Amino acid sequence: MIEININQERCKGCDLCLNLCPKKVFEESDEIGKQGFKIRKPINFEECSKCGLCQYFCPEGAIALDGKFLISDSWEKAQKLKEIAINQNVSRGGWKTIKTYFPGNHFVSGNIACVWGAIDAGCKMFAGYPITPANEQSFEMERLMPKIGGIFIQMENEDSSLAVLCGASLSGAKSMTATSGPGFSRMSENLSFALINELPMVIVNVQRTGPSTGRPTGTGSGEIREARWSSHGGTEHIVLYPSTIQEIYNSTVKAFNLSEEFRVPVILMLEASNAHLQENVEIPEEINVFDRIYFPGDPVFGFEKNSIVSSMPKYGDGEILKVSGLTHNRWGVPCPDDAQVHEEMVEHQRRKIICSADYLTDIDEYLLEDAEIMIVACGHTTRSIKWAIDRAREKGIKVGMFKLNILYPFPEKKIEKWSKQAKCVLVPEMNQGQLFYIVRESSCSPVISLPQPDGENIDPRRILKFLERDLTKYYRQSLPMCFPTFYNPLEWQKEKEEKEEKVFTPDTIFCPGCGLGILRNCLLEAIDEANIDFKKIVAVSGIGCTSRLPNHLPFDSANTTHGYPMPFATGVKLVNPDSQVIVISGDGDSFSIGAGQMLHGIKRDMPMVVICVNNSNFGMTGGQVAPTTPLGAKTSTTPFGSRSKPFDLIGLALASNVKFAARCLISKPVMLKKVLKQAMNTDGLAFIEVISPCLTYYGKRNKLGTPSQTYDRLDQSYISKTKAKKLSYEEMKEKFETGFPFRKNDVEIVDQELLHLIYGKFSSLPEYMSFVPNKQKKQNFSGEEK
Amino acid sequence: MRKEMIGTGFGGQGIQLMIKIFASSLYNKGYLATFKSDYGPAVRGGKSSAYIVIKEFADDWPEIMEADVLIALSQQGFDFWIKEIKQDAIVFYDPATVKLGQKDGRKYYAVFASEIANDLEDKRAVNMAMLGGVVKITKMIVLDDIIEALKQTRKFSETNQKALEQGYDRVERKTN
Repeated sequence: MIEININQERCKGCDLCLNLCPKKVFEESDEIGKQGFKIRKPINFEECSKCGLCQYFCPEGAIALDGKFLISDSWEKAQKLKEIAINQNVSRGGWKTIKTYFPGNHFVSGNIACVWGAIDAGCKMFAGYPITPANEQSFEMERLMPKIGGIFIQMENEDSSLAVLCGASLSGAKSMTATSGPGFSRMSENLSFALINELPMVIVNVQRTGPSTGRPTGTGSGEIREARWSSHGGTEHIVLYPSTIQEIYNSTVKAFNLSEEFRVPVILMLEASNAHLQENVEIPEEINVFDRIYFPGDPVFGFEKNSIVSSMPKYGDGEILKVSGLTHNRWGVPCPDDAQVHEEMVEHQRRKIICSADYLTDIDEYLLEDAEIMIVACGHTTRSIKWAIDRAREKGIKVGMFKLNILYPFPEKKIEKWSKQAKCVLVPEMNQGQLFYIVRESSCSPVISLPQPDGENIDPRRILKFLERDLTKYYRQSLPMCFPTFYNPLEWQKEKEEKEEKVFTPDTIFCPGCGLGILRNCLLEAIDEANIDFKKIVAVSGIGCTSRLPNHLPFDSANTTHGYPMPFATGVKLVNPDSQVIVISGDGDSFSIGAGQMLHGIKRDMPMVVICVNNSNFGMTGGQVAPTTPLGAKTSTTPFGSRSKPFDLIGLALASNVKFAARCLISKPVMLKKVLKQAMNTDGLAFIEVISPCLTYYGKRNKLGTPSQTYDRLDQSYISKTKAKKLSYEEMKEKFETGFPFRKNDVEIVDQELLHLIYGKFSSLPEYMSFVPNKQKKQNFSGEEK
Repeated sequence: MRKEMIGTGFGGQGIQLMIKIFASSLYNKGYLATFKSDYGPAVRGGKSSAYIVIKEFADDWPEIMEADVLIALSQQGFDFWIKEIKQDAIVFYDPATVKLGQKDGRKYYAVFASEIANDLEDKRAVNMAMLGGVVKITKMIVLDDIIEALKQTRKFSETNQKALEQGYDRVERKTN
């Protein structure tokens, strides 16, 4: 006789085991469990046929047959593999001297110098999207990357390029992108993701004239403030601002070194004027580069008291690297409800930069010792200023220049020191006055702005004229300045009691009976049966209920930004082609905000498994209407029923030339497991739509009943491919009308065993189309009802 | 001595290549040259310009202020730039496409670039013929430097070499 146990601490009382067991082994008892409801107990042991269906259906993996839990095996295996990996891996990283690719003198433009600097610094991944004036970098990268064993990829948009960099960076490659104003604004969401996860990368922003499209071929420096504040949530990062072509080369190398040293995205600000200027650049034979530090077994995200920057493993090291855009503790376990962890996290990220402010100060002081007028500037404008200063000095005007090579962290102390000596501070810049405000915050003397937002270089003669003639008009009484002192927010945290650190467990955050737990069971079983090395697997997700699933899986994972799991997965796969990437995404994530990215991802056809869990609404945010909500179904934003037809996800995937497409029901877990196993052995991309209705929001609003009732309805509403063949059009129409609300107006395509597989690019397409009971198509393809 | 040069013409006449070749040969000869070209829709038709600055010292202002030399291949470009350049500047022009305006203190040199290109039965050679003339008068480099720079860019052909040599021979000082 079989022994059946239920882990009462995990059980959420969804009743799926009670109702879906074919032999009715389970029953509700009168005992009240720890969770506060009547516990379920296996009673009729004699009836049990050991089919194991209850284990698949238990979303929490709480049922043990003969003492064995379905998911615990995977957990134990993963932990053992992790221990082995930590013992075997060796630490790596640090400074080293390497030879450059193009030593000597060259006559090249700023864009080319930037690319050469990146390649010398060890850049192995470049993702970009066409935008003037950064295009030349793409051309040059495309030319050089294959020669040095690197990767160049053109993505579908700038946001995706940055998502690719995130994936590549976590896979161990030094990576870079180049963009311009509008693209840089788009990147801010993924930049924030890179900041919270401390991912080293270099973002080159070749500035042009804004706002909006503005003068795409003009120059400017309109992103001085955006470069610092572009990410939401506000953390610190480093911004470099080179001026000459030689400096562009040096700064690019420095940008890579700083990003690796501090584990932070570094933004390199170029301007259209110096990006297109050809000039002499002298490249040394050898340069020093820094590689990110890795110590096996160390915490991944640095909240250690003594270390500034923590160890950075990569995907495939076997450390179960968990990455999430959510607040996470030092092991990467998401704890969005913990205020203390969040404060420690953001404080660490701020501190590692501002505590190194002296190390990160890079300025040039030109004739400042006796200067009465101090000019603060950065970028191409400094060359114009230098010309003007030389001429002004000849005429006896005491003027000097404070040149910023690293814009952020801003050298406040230096500005304070020099501005005390000067009578006034002048800030010429190619915008409407941005650097002016930053200088004013720390200047002790009055600051005068000299803006020129027309998209042309500031003519040196204009500055000279201003110094000679107009400056005296702007003198005014110096105001006393006071500087705020920062209170250390972590000090009072120390007084609090030390909490227990959240560790990685199989417990999920999902609602009782949610299909995502069933999907996890199937996925783990499929991986087990397909015999895939846990080390190789990387699970990637976006935002939403579904996207929390990778956090509950025992291998490397990433919970990326909304709509960008596909570009991220592309980055991982490009850098590490041996990895088995599994994208787990929701319908809103992959076909609403991320529709373009998903379709482009399918089009790229890289070998990976893409699971789109279709729950017919936005579950995480309160059940809003989604692109997959059936016609007439009620959601929180469509209380009188959805007015538009839903997307046919399989149809979209087929239109994007997918090689393997399948639609599965969460109520048929054994079949789902088989499909997943088959998908993992596919050469190209495998797209699987899993119908798993949201029980909490969508289920309640559309009166689907209990979880088991919902899954029963699901079985009834969908019809298999073979059954559909036998029915006439009229019969099928009735069938689907009664099947509300999983009915779509068109027929669901699932074969005999509730799945539909299509191999080959085009051959099966007409066959698929033939089962759409659209009158015309039925007549066209079946030839029965003419 | 700081020198600034502007090349201007229609998009497609080869202005960018001409000035770029000139700049790289100047750079190869040890001049502190910088090169910059117009970037944008203009280079696909309409006025297209490219600029060379020979700096006095390495950190000099690398952009155009007042040009010493203007090389004009189209009337539109000529009309635009003639107001912006120095009073004693040298102007090279193609008499087939540019008509001079009022008399002023500038030195005008006619290079019969279009005629040379027609003789060579390749209209694309206009820019190289022009460059030949420019090289002769400016005397900063010799023709072989240009040919050497051309060879580096894979744009080198016999027609181009012939055009350069003929342009070098057919330059005339003009007064308007």
